[in-house]
Amino acid sequence: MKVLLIEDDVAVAQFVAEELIRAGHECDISSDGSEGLVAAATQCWDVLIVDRMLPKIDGLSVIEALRARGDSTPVLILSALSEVDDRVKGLQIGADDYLVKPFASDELTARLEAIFRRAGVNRSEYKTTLEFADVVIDLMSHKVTRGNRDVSLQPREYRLLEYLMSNSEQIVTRSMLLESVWGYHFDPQTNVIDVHISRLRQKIDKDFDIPLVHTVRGVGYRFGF
Amino acid sequence: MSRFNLWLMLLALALLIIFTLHTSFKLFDQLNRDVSGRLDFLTTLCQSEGIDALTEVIRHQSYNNHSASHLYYLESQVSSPIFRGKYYASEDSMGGFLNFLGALFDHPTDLQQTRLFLSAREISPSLSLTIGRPYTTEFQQLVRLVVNVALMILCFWIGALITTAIATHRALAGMYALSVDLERIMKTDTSEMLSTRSTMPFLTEVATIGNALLRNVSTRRVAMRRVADNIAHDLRTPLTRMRSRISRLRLKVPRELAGEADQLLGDCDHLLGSFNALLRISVLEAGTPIRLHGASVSLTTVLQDVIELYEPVAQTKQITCVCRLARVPPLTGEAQLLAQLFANLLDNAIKYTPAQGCVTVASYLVDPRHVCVSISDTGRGIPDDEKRAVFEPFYRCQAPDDRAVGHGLGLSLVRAIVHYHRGVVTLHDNHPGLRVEIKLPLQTSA
Repeated sequence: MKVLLIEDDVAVAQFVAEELIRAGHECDISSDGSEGLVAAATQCWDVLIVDRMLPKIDGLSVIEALRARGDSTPVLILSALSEVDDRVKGLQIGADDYLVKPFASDELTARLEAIFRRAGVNRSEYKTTLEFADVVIDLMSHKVTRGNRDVSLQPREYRLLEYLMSNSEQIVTRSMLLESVWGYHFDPQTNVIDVHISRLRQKIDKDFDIPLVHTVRGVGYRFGF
Repeated sequence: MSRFNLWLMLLALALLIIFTLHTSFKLFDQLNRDVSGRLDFLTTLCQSEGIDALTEVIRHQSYNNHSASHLYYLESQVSSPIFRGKYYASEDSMGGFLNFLGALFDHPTDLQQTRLFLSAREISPSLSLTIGRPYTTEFQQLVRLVVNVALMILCFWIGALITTAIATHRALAGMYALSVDLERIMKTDTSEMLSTRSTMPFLTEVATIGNALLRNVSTRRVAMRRVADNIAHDLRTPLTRMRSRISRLRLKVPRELAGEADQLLGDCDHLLGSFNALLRISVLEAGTPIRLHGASVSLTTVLQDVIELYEPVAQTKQITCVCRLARVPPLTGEAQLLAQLFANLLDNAIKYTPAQGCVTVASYLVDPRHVCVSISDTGRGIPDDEKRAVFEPFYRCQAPDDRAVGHGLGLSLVRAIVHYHRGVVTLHDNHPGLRVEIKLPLQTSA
């Protein structure tokens, strides 16, 4: 992925750039809003990472300006402000995700890949099914099958599987699942997500030779081979 | 009756006695001088002009005048006088006064009897003269005066008693109001101050000193919170970097060291969780509570979502989850914070309930303006003497198996969220287990 990072904090910018390069991505840095807006508007990027508080032009104004000129490049906001209002404001203005500082590099890369992938899916034709290996989800009827067998899922389990399959072969963190499936932006501090994943695994992987729901220790989960 | 009033009464009695003695002595002195003067005059008259002149004067002053102010008795031999009534006779001034004083308290039994001040003198070896001076009128005036003064003193004392009682009552009422205010401020942990608008100066002074103390506590609390915030904020960034590096390192270390790396990651997550909770508590406590006519939240939906999140965890532990959610009107609040509040409580309830136990979540209207959510478990509960302390950050219950669980900020965060929503959180015994009750105000019109 080609990433533009608009961040005025040198230490944070260096850390993020190092982590992205280490994960195999390209990264350029702009140190203020004005410079960042020019770079975003004049070059082609896969994902933008924009700090909320920037010198010259505020992060939200940068995103607003880009969206106003029809630029739909996925944007992830970085912010030290963890209040719900700020998160909502950022997403309303056209950002795709919101990450509160400080963050783990795994969390950042997982979220970047998720919004990049989501943008690609959105650009492609409208889908009525999700498929991976022998698992099929009918997005219209919410019917799930693996092989020739119907899998009966509770509504929340269905949403969990749908999110995992939308990001198949990608790592998704626990907080990404909590945000996307339950809409919670706090950490419950317990293994509550593990229990839900475990129940889903029982229904999806039980009696099948190839497990598809994997735990990535210390980070989250991955749906794939 | 207070000791002060007793002393006041004794002082008043002493003053009354002194006044009575002084007035009596003045009367005694006046009568003594009157009678002695007459005796001197008549003795001189007798010696210079003879017995005839003396008898003439006595007759003229006494026998021919029924309203005479003095009685005279002349006798050839000195003997006891024949006057009827209470009398006094003595030449000795102090002894005479004491006798006179004794006679004052000796009330005549016969109405015909009159009070007489008697004095006798030997005019010649064969002749003695006794003069009796009635003093009933003066005595009555003296008694009236003493009674009046006694009444005045009694009135003064009763007045002092009533004034003291009123002043004491007002002072105590003021002190009680101050103590109630102080207790409320300490309980609610707000920056409110004591009212200094008292009519009693000393209460105003006490309130001013109390406010200085509260300001001092508040300043220290803010300073402490700022230090905690800075520590939490400044430590979060390096800790996050450290976590990322450990996470990368874990992929490279030999299999036998992977467990150690996972433990390090767990420790980092625990610390980050503590810092995040501290910051969240700090933000909530520093802000003003929510206004009650803002965006509405369906409490039932929030509760149902949280219960749905935790139900599989309870089932895994073989704990029964019971829901009794009444239909309640919406309340003003932040859905995320309320979800976190109930998630924390439900998490605790499940964590401390043994297998085959039961966790019950109930919501009901307390009155038309308040809703109550109760979360009860059948765990070991919290002893009464720790029910208040558990809301303090990093407090650990005395139970030995509590030490390793959680980061010790869950209930502090619960309290901060409840206060932010202008609610009250209380802990009760569930016999067995714990019942947490949260009373929240419902939405009001703007």
